[in-house]
Amino acid sequence: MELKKGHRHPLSSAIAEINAIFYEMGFETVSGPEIEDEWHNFDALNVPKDHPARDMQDTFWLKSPKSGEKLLRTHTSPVQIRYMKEHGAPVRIIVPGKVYRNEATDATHEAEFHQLEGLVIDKTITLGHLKWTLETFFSKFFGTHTTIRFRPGYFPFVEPGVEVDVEYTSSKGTKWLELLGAGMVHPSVLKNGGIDPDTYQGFAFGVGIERLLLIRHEIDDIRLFLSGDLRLVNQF
Amino acid sequence: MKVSYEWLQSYFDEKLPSPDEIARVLTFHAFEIEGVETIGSDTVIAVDVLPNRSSDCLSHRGIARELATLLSLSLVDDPLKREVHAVPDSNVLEVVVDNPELCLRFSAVVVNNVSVGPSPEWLRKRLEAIGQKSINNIVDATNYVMFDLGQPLHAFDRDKLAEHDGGVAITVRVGKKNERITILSGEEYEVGENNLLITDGNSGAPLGIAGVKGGARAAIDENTTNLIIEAAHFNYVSVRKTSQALKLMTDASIRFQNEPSPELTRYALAEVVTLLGGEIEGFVDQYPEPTALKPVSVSVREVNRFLGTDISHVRIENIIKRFNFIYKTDGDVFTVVPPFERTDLSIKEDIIEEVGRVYGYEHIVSSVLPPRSRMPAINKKFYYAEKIRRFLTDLGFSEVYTHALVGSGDVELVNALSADCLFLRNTLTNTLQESLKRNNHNTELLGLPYIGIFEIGTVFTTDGEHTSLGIASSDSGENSAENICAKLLINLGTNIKGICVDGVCEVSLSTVLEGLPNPESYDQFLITNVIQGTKFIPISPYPFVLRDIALWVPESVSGEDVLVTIKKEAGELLHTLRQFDEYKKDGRVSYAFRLVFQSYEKTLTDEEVGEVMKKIETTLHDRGFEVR
Repeated sequence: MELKKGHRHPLSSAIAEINAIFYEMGFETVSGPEIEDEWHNFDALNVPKDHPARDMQDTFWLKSPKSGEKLLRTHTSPVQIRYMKEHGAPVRIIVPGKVYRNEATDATHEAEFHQLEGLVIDKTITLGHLKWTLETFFSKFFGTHTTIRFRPGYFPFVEPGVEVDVEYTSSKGTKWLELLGAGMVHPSVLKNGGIDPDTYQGFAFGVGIERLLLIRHEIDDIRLFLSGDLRLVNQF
Repeated sequence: MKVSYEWLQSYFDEKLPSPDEIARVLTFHAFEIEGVETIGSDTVIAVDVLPNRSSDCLSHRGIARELATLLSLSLVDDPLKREVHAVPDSNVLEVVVDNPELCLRFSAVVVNNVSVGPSPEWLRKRLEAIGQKSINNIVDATNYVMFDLGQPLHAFDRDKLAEHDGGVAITVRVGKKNERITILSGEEYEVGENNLLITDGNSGAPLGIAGVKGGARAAIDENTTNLIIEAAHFNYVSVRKTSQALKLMTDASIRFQNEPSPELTRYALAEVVTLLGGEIEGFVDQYPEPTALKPVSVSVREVNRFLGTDISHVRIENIIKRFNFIYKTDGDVFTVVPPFERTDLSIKEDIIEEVGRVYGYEHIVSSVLPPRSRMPAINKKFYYAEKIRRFLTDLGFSEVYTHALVGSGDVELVNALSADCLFLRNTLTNTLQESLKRNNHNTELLGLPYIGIFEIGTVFTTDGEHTSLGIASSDSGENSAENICAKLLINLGTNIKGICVDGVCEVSLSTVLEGLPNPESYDQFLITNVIQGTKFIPISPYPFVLRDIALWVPESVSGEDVLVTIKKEAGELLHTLRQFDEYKKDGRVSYAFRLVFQSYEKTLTDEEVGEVMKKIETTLHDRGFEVR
């Protein structure tokens, strides 16, 4: 019998592509734990206990026999803190990784999904650098020159915070898609990462990887990704 | 927050731009807009006010102030700039705050001789436009002021409070153990030491759950003539916890948990008495430690250093003026005193954001990241995971991802979504077995001789989390999971062996990686754009139907040639086609093909598939082939 090649999962292919694109721009790919403590996931990121900003991310809590409250990370942002504490500035990293949200699932929502986090810190990093970075990434990822735009947004770990829309052309036409949250790293977050906000500044962004694939490949149900079903995988 | 266009217009002399234009301006300079809807003669704009601006913008005045800045307009009459005289002091109401840390300020006014009736038409219309039910002039007035200024208020019927020496009293205190209160809607709640209450100072009876909901005891009814109206500032954590514990989320609790300014109370009381009429007996204001306004300094250089812009001193000054902020300049430094209601402005980055969004983020120009002095480090786990993927897919195995939230494991969730995801997986074996089973049903549809799959994923044990590698196969021969796993581990250069159970082998990739050398470069593993152009073909929910066809053809005819003919004749219902047999005899070749039919619209019948097969056979016959 002739041996046919197997297929990589589209998420793996996408993460490899993302890694290659950002590596070329000087980014290091890093990872962090999926079980996190409250400090790294929330407090250090300027999301205090009992603050309404916590409601923005529904959290799975763990029954933990060991010390302290543990949770499943709701975003890849805690890796910002871990990396800053370990390496200091300057920083230029991406963090592709699994995150968890306690949300009912449907064709566009999964409780388990993947996020891509980006963090750049140096002495003169601006929102202009963020714009260039994202335009370069999306142009390569979508395979066509792609423009982005910023709108005011709020995420506790950045200030100023922006929502990022990406102009995307599909067979159905061209439209602006609301794809990312981003902004300039909040000085409290830099401090919590052991970096002096009077000397260093930078940007951070976060985007759902499944969402990018749903769009680029016109996949109709996000739940297919973790279904273990080759009827999805073998199309890629 | 639902915002009435007519209500907003009342803040301006100039005619406002259309609701759609306002929605556009807010979208690009302030807030996301959830929708614009016509309600009667009014238009309602649903503004998504996020936590950082919920302190001042869950109000029409807040949105109007925002628009004034963005459109360079001025407010006709800013209610927060009015001269407010809270005099005289009340002779009949005494207020005691037992827990000043939970109630920073408690302001109240006693009003006599009001008559309860319907609200004026204009006020009713505004409340109804934003989805509020009109109740009576008193309750409506307090609601109106909340939606106008963002300060929740509550009106009590003074004659329902216990009198002592001709006076009434209010005590703000935490609940007693097992204390019960009936709220306005009639439901009874048990409260305790963690809940702040507004109570009758003479009788001790609870009158309301502070910052959340008023009680039934001193509720306004058609016979009410004398009022106490309170406007307070309650601690946001306390309100939030009480609201969550009692599962009672109200317009008031949402506002309080976002820390509106304690300065608002006096302006809110002034507005409500203007709306209500009646005789003001007097005011009470418990505000022992007024909050001070804190100036924030930012330089022109800092603004541009963050935004990546080149905004001039003059332009920044103009933007600050548009906000109506009090400020002074010293060289290139602006020192801004944010108005009291902007409790969100406390550091220079906050001011930079204000300048940036009014200036317009569309003016930010892309700027190339500066080059780095060294190459980025190589991620070892990513490198070897890619190597494994390449090795296994070359052997015909495909990669799956399965769920980490499962029915059993070592680490349990406190708040699971459902019973089948109470735990984090401690192995990949179980979910890979399920995946193998599911894919086995589709072997023919997938056109595969057997199912071979693998997964690289995190598992969670009592020792913590690690990355695991699992391989599963439906083949028991050369392509069994055992064989493939052994081959892979040899290829990686490790002595560690996988653990194999029922067609699935698993090994800790984290442990394997510890013994492998650090890669010096990504070399061949930096791949790009391999799947970029692939468009997904939806999966049909209907069952598939199998048919085989075998035929004799002259030796000169290739299998590919026959395949093309079959494909062309079979049409859209053919999902998968593969050749599974070939042998030569007496100058002829016998080919056998398997056809898998599936529809996107229905379950196919024997007749429908039969017709297609007949069409294919006829064409093959016409080409001179012998269908067996």
